[in-house]
Amino acid sequence: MEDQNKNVLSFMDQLRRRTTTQKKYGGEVSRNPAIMDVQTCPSCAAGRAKQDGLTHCAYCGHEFLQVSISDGLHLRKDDNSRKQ
Amino acid sequence: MLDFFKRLTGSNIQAPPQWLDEFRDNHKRWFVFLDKLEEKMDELGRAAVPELIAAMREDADPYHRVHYNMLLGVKGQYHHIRGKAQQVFEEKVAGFFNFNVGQQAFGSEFYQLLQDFYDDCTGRYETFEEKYLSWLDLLDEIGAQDLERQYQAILHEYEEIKDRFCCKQCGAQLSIPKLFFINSYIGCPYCHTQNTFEPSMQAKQLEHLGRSLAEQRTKHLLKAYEADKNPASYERYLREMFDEWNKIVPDLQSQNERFYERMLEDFRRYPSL
Repeated sequence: MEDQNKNVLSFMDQLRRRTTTQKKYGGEVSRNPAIMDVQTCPSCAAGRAKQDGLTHCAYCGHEFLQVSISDGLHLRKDDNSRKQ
Repeated sequence: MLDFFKRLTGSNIQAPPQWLDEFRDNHKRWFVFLDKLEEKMDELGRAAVPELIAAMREDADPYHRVHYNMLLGVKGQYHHIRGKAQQVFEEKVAGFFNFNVGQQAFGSEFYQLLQDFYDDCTGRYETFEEKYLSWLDLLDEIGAQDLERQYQAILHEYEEIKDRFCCKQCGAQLSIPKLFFINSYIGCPYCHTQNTFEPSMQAKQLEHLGRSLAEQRTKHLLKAYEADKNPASYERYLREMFDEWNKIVPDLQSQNERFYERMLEDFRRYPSL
């Protein structure tokens, strides 16, 4: 019985050592906090405002996104700027 | 235990077959062997559970890979123990029974003896299997307990940070209207700048834990279905599970509902699955 306990404990020790020291597939993951950011227009330096859509600058018409937005969780097709 | 050894002493037995010694031996050894394996499973479980809980709590990795690898290692040991039982069962119980039963006249004393031996050993094997499965359930339970903790941590974090951000353009205070788990635009009510909000690593996990947590919360309904095998019970479980999932991740409700319809349709079409 004691031998068996010893075996189990040594197995768990070995397992703990291996699992804590082995290199993780995909590398370490950092716990990033939530952040707020903004993209200013490279053409007129205005903040990215939403007037008729999000794909173009509301002030100078600079094209922020070349692709058109499709329906998603928070963005909709309506968020494409009408002025091209 | 059945009294088939006593029956062997009866005077009506004329020529005892040669396998009787092996028969007694196999029967006795099978019970002792399973007792030992169960003891080993208990020892392993008692040592592994605190380690697995500690690995889950102490590991900073959001995917709990240390715990997961450790769990796989422990489960591997359980599979190994079960494999041993299965191997011996096939050789010493099923193999012995199949080999000898064909040589006995159907319904004869020895035929019945072998049949009782097989039933007795199989019954013991089923008890062993139940114990094996209950240990595996217990090990999985450790990971499941943590889902609730993770979810509460996400909610707590949202409450803490929702009014902490300011517009990057004009500095006005912004409020995060709901719990986001993917990047989203937050419009400033004053300068109308679209700020980009990126949720924390922790909040991004919400999408992945939603279903598992909902399944865990409604597990009792699935068990009820497994017990009564009534299709209505399964449909009730499915509805409750998806309701729970929608409560946890409301943004995915429309997608989840389509998934629900498909699962329900699959179940009605192939109820045995």
